[in-house]
This record gives sequence, structure tokens and C-alpha cells, in this order.
Amino acid sequence: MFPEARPAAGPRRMPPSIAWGAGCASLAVAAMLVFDHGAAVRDLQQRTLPAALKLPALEDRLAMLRQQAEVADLHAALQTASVDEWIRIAVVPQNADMAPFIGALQILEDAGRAAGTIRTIGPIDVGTTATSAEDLSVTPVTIRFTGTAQGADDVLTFLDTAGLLTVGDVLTSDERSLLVQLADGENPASVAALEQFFAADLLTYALDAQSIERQLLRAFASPLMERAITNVANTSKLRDVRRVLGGATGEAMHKGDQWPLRFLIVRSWDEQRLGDGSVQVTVAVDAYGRKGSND
Amino acid sequence: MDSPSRGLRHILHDGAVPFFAFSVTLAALLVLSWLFLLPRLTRIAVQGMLLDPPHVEQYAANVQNEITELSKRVDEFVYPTRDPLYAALRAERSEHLSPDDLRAVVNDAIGRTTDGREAVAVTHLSLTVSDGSALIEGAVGKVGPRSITVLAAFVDALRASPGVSDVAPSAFTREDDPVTGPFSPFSIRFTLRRDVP
Repeated sequence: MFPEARPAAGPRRMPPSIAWGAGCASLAVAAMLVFDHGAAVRDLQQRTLPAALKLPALEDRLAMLRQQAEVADLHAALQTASVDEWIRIAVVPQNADMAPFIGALQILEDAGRAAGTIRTIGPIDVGTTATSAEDLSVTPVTIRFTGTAQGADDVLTFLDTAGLLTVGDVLTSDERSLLVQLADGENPASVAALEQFFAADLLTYALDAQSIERQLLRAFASPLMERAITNVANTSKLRDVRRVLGGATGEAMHKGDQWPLRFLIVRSWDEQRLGDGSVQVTVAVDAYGRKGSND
Repeated sequence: MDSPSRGLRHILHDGAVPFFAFSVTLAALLVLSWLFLLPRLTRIAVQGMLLDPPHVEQYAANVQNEITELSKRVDEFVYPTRDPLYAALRAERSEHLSPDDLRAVVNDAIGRTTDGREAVAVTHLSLTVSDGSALIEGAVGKVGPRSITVLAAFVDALRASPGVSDVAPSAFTREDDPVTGPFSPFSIRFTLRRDVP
């Protein structure tokens, strides 16, 4: 059936075993390359294309941030260090002098009496100042007061606000981030308006919130931003601050040079609800200072 | 008998070169595709330039990093970092419980108790901020002989409140007031955590 093997005519043929071996090797290489082609297409679909699709939005945001950063650099030179100075002088001071804080409580009491929300504030017990490990001095203060439930809320807000200096200090980081994110879609200069809003003195804001909010709103064109600003102003702690410091208390503190207040943290709260609808509260707070060089 | 093996040998002998030619051609075509065709087909236009997939991802990562860096710079401008001591004190205050948290929990539990709003009267609230230990005192009345039942429901509602643990009520008793009728005084100690609603 088969012809006998004949000597090859012309060029020598490759031995079949080598041809099969080289063919298998080539096929293996081809299989690897087919696999690599598949992997490349899969990578393209799963990683590169999604990244490429996000790029236009990322580039737009980058362009906006570059412009905002330029505005920030221009305005940064105008920022003063006054907030940090006030922190050192009045908010976390080196002295243990409690007179300014007690004076501020008396102003709150006077305003509360006039409004019918606070009957009395006192006695006020000031404990011995101790030092903590974190370069801080701590003075325990116990305050007793009687008034309405609204009066108790006012005192609590007053104590929680003590030590805060600016509008930005009162807002939570989420509230600040929301406004910053919304400002991204506006003109780059809006970031400077937002900085001015956050840096606005808290007492000045409480006394004339509308003009400071109007000034901020002028920098934004979109109704979305306007709604967000109004929403933050009316749902955040700024509302409580306006209620407590926006009237006679704030005016008197402004005139009496009692602002800003020393930083306090409430340690305990004991509220007795009396039969006539009033409440008697004993609140313990820690008033903080900075360790002196001789502490 | 040996014709099948001879047939196989014949196939192996005659098929070797075509198989080799096919494999080498296929491998060569795929190599050419890998070197020239695939990079051309998978390039993506970015900023007017055609970039390979790794460069596209690298470019996107660079843009993202620059955005993060610029965002930090803008954030620092909008709300600068304050004195470190002051920042630490503010962080401590924001992490602490507030008497408002205690009021919210108690009012919520009263609201979830049947007849709670009319019957449960809290006369004393106390909170130690450092460990969250709380005490509430008062009385359940205006519901006739059901005052103990309402009190028990109030305690259960308090126990079910998020952020509340270790609820330890005083003994449930019923007393009689000649004017207002039966009432159940209570004194409940519990621990409040920061994750209150």
C-alpha cells in the first residue's frame, strides 16, 4: 500500500519528529498569545474603559479645582492669624482667670430673666485648677440654675458654644463638606465667598445672620446652592446659636467685650423638673486653659 | 495486522510539515497581532493623544491624585486647621454625649409606650458624660390600676432603644394618691452610648 521510503529529492525535508515538536511549540506559543489577547480585551473592558469614561468628569473637576486653588492662593495672603490668636488669648488661655466666663453667665442670666426663661443662675462653684498630660489646665466648675425648659436649652447651647469662634466651627464637617462640594459646580471665586462665610465671627453672625448669609448667597447663582445654604443655616446648630446669642445676650456680650468665651466641656447634667413647670439644673463643666510655663 | 500502525505512521509522516507550517503561521500572525494590531486597537484618545491601556489608567490615577491634593489645599483654605490643642478639645467635645441625647432617648421611649405620653412623667434626669451613666426618676399615673403595666412597657421600650444598655429599674410598685389615684414611682439607671439616634 505504501511506497517504500525514497531518498528525498531536492532540498532535505525536515524530519517529522522535529516538525511535530516545533509545530507543538508554535501552537503552545499561539495558545498563549490567544490567551493574552483575551486578557488584553478583558482588561480593556473591565479597567481601562471605565477609567477612560470617568476621565472627562475628572478633568472637569481638576480644571475647576485648579482655578479654585488659584483663587485660594490669592486670598490666602489676606487671611489673618487672628483666630489662632484669639484661641491663645481667650479660648484656651494660659491664665486660670474665670471672671470673664462668670461675667458671661451673668449676661445670660440677665437676658434670660428679661425673656422669662431663666429665673436664677447660681451658685457657681469654681474648683481647683489641675493640669492634664496634654499641655492643658482644667478647672472644674459647677453651675446651678433654675428656669424654664427653654432656659435650660439656652444654657446648654451657651455652654456647648463656649470656645467656638467662627461659623465654620459650629458646622459639622459633613455640613461644611456639603457646601464645599456644591460650590465646586459654581464659579471658582465662590470658594473665597465660602471661606469668608466659614471664617465669619460667630457672635457677629448671631447678631446679624441675614447680612452674612446674603453676602454668601450673592456669590452663587444656582438655586440648589441657595437652598443648601438656607437649609444648613436653619437645621444646623447655627439656629440654636442665633436663638441664644442673637438677641440681648449677644448684644451685651459684644458691648461688654465678653466674646469669645473660654472652652468648656459639659461633664454632667442633673435636671430636676419642678411642679410649677420649671427646671432646676446642676451642670458640671470643665473649663480648659493652656499650661503655663510655671505649671 | 500492522496496517493501522503503518497508516498512523504515514499520517504522522505526511502531516508533520503541514502541521508545522500551520502552527508557525498561526503563531507568527498572533505575534504580529500582539505587537502591532492589538496596541493599535486598544489605544484610547485622551486629551488629543492616543494612550495605551496602562497609560490611560496611570493618567486617570494621576488626575485623581491631583484632585485629592488640590481638594485638600482648597479645604485647608476654606476652613483652616486650628491650634492643635483647640482641635483636640473640639474633637473631644464632639465625641461626648449631650443631655440632649438623654432627653431624645427618654422621649422616644415614652412615645413608643402605649399611653406613655399621658401617663409617664419624668421629674429627674441625670447624665454623667464620661461613662454615659444615666438616671431617670418619675412616676406613671393617670391610667388607673394599669400604672405598673405601663411602667413595665416603658422600661421595655427603654431597653429596646438604640444606644441604651444595662437598664436597671427599681422595684415596680403601685401607690395610691387620694387626689390623682394610683401611680407607680420609678427610678431607672442605665448606660447611654454615643450611637443614640
